[in-house]
Amino acid sequence: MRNDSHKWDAPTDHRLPLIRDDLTIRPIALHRQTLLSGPINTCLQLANQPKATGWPDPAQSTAYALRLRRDRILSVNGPTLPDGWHPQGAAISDMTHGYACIEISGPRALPLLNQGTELDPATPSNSCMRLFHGWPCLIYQWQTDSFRLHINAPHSEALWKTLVPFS
Amino acid sequence: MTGFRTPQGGLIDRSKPLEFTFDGRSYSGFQGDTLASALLANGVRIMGRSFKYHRPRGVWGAWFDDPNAIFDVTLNGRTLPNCAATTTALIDGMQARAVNAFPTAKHDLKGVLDRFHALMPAGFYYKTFIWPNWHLFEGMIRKMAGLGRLDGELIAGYQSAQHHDRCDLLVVGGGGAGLAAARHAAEAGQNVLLIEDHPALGGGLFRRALPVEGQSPADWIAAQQAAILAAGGRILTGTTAFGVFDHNMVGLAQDHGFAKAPSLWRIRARRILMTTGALERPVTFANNDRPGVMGLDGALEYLARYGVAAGRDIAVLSNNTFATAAQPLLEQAGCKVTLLDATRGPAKAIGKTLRAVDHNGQRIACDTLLVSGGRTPVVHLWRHAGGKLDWNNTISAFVPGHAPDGMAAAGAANGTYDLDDALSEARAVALNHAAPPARKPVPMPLLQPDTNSNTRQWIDLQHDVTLKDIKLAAQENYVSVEHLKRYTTLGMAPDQGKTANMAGLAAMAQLQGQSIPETGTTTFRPPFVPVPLELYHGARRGQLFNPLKRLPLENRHRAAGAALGEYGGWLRPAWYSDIDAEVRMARNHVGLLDATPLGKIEVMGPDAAKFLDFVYYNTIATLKPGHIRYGFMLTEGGIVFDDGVVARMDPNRFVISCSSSHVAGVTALLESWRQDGNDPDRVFIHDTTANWATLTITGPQAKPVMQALDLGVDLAGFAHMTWQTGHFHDTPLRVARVSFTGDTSFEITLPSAQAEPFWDTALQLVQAENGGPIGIEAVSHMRAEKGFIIIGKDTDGETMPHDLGFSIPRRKKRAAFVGDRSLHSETANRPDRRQLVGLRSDTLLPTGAHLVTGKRSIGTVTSSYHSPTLNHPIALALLENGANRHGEAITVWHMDREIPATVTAPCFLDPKGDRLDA
Repeated sequence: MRNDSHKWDAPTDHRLPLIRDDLTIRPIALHRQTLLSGPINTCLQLANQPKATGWPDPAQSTAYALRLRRDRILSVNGPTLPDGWHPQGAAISDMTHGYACIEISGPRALPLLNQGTELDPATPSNSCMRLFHGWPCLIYQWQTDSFRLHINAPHSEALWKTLVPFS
Repeated sequence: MTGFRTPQGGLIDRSKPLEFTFDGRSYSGFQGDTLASALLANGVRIMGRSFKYHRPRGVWGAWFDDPNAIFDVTLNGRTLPNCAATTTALIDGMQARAVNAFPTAKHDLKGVLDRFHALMPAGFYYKTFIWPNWHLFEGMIRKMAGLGRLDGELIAGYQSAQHHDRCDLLVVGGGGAGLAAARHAAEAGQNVLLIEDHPALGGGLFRRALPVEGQSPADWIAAQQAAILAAGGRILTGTTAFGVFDHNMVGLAQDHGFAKAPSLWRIRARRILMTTGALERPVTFANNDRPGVMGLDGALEYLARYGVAAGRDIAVLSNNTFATAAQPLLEQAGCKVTLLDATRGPAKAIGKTLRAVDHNGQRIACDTLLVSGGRTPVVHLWRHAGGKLDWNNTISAFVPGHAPDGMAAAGAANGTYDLDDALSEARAVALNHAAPPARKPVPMPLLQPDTNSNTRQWIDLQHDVTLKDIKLAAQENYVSVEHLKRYTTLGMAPDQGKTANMAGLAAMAQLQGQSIPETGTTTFRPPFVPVPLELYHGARRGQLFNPLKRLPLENRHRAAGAALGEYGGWLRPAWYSDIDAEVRMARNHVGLLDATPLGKIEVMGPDAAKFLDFVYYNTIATLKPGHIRYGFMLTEGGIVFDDGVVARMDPNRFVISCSSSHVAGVTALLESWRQDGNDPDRVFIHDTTANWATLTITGPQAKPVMQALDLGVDLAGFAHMTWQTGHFHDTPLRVARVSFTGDTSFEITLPSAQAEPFWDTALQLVQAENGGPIGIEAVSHMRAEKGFIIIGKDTDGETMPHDLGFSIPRRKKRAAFVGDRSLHSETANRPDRRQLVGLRSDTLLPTGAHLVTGKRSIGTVTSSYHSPTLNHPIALALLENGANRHGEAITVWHMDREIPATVTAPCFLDPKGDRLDA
């Protein structure tokens, strides 16, 4: 039995954005994240969204949906939905605290992302799920010149530390 | 001292002289030199020693095809081993030492080994060092093997950047064909990336030194470069394509200079055009390894790029017309040149310091012998991508055959050696058009070695593979080229078949009386040139190499002085103060555990119950909402994959609380079965573990704490293995009555954002009951006292549920379930299956120790602790027929030590479970 506390830095304060001339990295506090699985149209209807964002079409409004796979979306800042099986035929789980969200913006944002994954605006994908430096992430464009990454919260510390040296 | 710097010419900057040392002697060169070109200009002939016989070696080539000049190089206190002298740019102050030589390459003491060469043919060590024991010699041989020396110091900041990118057309090779193709494609609107491994574009155009489409080579190259960039194309020089991987992913290593880590580019190309050129092919003849014997192309490269003539009195032994074209270039540099036709009889180099060549009955005096046995197209990338090779009789070479998807070749890489033909071909292929037929093929007759000669003829200069070794391999029936390669080491290590491959194939073909295509080729694999491992490293280093998942309460645990450690991929509190004290506190009063990593996998849908019935060993469909059931998941082989509890939320919703370390595995297993044999729209799986924190309050005083917490649950009617909803302030939560300690326990699951305030409140109340926080080590002790297992620790790859005492579903469950069939196999019913037992001993038993009968192991200790509750050692073990051995004395063996123990039931504490509701 070892005390390995010293081998791991205490969690950093994610609330401090990293701001450079051509790059800003900042944590985003999302009001609600809800995972919905089922026929995609049913999920979108429940999330009150017309479509789900994949790549590279950006998410534009405050509330939006992300396409994870054929039958799964993540509703972001969407309506409150009870966890469990919805009679319309969809599985619903609250993941508000399950994913940490980091926003990267500025001219260096895409080159920075391309250090960790393959993202080409000319190569579309229905899904925004990617491996970023080996982490399973959701990566999508946010409005005009920003990108957002969602990562499983227990690994958000590692993602943040990964991004810091590149900033 | 034969090489010399010409008064003019080359791409070097003669206004910038540079000083350096080689093997302790000082030399000078110019900006733009490589270490090899500078040494050659200083008349240095011997730049290395061969691997086995320590024969003196000069440079053979001028770029990545040189197998001989390999140095350890130091600059400003930073040392890099195994630098190819031909590709290492000269920097002022460099200190280079030849590898595999002591004290210097010129005067290598181990050169004496060559006198015993007859005793050291191919594979000699396989035969010689097997008696009395290989290990007797292993240390010495390993010490002699290897090339450069690692100095053990890290180079600060040596970290490769990594990039991902895409293009329509990736052109590999910035020679004439590559430049023409890249320009043509870029001007046609394609997204073009052209890469060239030299610092300058141009490839073989410099050494050819003839006008290109009416322009000087330099002007033509500059015009193509400007046009490519103007059309939106991109160019990376100093960049090598080292491998082609799946789906047209090409790995590029971009050089940034000495002791700076190269960058890795992962390029996804819609099409790859290979314009990688062709390599000079050696000629196999007697003493062809003497310093001063060089490839013709290499010598012309030194002349054209670095302004260095390889010698003054030069003989050229060749089977092709390139030698004729080279003659005036060498003569203009001040060399005397004699052309020899390699097809007209064998040759022999004369003199340890080359002074002549015997050829066709004549002795021709020379200080340098340039050889050209034809060309070998550089087809490595083609083969990486799975492309086929065809034998071309006209040029006696393997050329790209059936193309892999999205790949093409042009120019010399495609066997098109005439420049005009190559440019036409490249432009056509760049637009995916059919290439026009070559108008001016350059025939090159096949040169075959004289296999009847007893002279020493080198096939692989670096590894000292001679024609005699090929003959020996053939004699011993290593006739397959793959066996030949491994038996003789032909073409291994940095060479990777660049110079030695065709010579070896020709020799074996000759010996076997068959053609080269019948003999075949070896497999080419990435990397094409040596690249540092750092290139592949990326951002995953230090704490990020394999980062642990972090708890939302980590800062609280640190503040409480917790010793943190890795448990199942999470950084968790192992203990806070003293493990035994924590156990006694929880047993006598109450403990608070952060159990957040426990799985929280939701299974939802109308078919959820049926699905879980199939996936679980136990029957789940009968579980009522509000209730919880312990169960096992099995593999198809009936082996226990995971255990845990299932809570039914409502008829269509279950939450699986699996082992902390198995969440990803269980989720994948569930998803796999979901997609196999189920209506995928009627059952879904969500891993929500990350969303929640789980805190466990356990111990005799757990109920008073729960009362004080006032979570809105009905404690009076709260039965074991049930759950209720409640709230903490305004936050809804779930409370489950399950126990991994054997004492009254409540697991509270709430959104992770509320974990800190809940922890603060609960800890205060726990401390008011003389309790406190407990770490995972205390819980491990407590669960062992109860005989509760940890999957993977107390089970192994053969453990079935009935080995753990859970046999009812195996006998009675009617519904089909995963692993059912395997539980009824002969193996599953063997009487000597290893079963879970407890062990009592006066000594703390080592975990992993064997339970023995005589000298045979009949089991292992899986968990072992000193029980603070019982105040004696306890252990769990897997033991053959263990369930029927309770009460038996047994011997535990560990590290030659025997310890007596008694087999018991696994549960040491409260076997009736009275403490659950204490």
